[in-house]
Amino acid sequence: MLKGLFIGLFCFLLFLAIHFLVFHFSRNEIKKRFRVIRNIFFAIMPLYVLLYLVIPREILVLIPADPVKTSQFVINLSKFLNFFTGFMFYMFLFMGYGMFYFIIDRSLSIRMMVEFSKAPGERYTFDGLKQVYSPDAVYDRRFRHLVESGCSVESNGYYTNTPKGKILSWIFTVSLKILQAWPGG
Amino acid sequence: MIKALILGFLSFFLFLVGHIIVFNVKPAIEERFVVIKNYFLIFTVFYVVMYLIVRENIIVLIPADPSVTSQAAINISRAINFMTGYLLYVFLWMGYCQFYFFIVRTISGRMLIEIDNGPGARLTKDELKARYSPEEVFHKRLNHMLGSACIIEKDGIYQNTRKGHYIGNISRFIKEFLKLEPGG
Repeated sequence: MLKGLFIGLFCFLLFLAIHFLVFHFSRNEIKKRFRVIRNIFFAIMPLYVLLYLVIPREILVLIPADPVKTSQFVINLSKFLNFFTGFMFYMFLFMGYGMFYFIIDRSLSIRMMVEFSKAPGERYTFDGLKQVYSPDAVYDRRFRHLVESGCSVESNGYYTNTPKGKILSWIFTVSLKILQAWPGG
Repeated sequence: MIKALILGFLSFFLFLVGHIIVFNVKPAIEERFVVIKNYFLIFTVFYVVMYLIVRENIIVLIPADPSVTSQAAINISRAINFMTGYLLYVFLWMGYCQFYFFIVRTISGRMLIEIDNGPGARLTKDELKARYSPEEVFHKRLNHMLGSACIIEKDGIYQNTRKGHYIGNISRFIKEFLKLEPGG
């Protein structure tokens, strides 16, 4: 199990390093940012498998199996679980990072605190904040993302949900009602 | 390890059921995340208690042979197994928290809902803004930040607290390092 966890952690740290280097040193503006992040994550998956196969199992085994007491089926099942646990560790770390990234990138509250931090005395009135961070610009950005992600289409100034948008709308509606958090936003 | 993974899943499942029941029985609860945090702690205790109660040898795939494996290695293995199951519970909970805040706060999600509920299932930008005001969203976020002590308000002027100052500056550094847009 230790082998899987260590390799999973290593793969995640490598993902972070590559992602930071690509974003920081890229000369051209990266348009589809999360696609790049996702592709780096997927590109490292085969490395996890390769490292798991290449690194001898015996290096990091705390409790060696006794073939006299433990059947080969159980030993194989244990090997699979160890592989899977490490892989899930890599995936969970990536998912956690993904949500952190979206918070940094899209959170209104974070943007507001950033704007406050840049202001003299780190303070603004509501109108002063709107001058540097426009609520209408937030909506314009969201409309653009809805269209770019294929959730909505725009025609003659009217926005309509695509089937993808309708499914998401249904999921949000049901989730908000189950959580008693309607209407959200 | 299997015992820990099963208990980790069970703890998370019970956390989900427990807090959703509370939200539906008491929909007027204001401090929702406090409820979510408290249920996380309750089922952390549940995990620890169950881990101690459920016998180790029920679900062990590879039993340790004390003549081959030292007691130190066996104890380390027990600790790692315990932590693996607990980390599974923690990761599932963290993932759920991200999902919860996304569902409850997403502007895009609310826009999709408003568009679907609009006349003819379509809206112009101005029609949507009349139903779901961007300024109200800003006021809501400012109130949340006041509630979480990231900012203070006096005489209509909002200001970062020390907490808001650190979050703002760290976020600014990350955005600049990763060359992100101002965002938000």
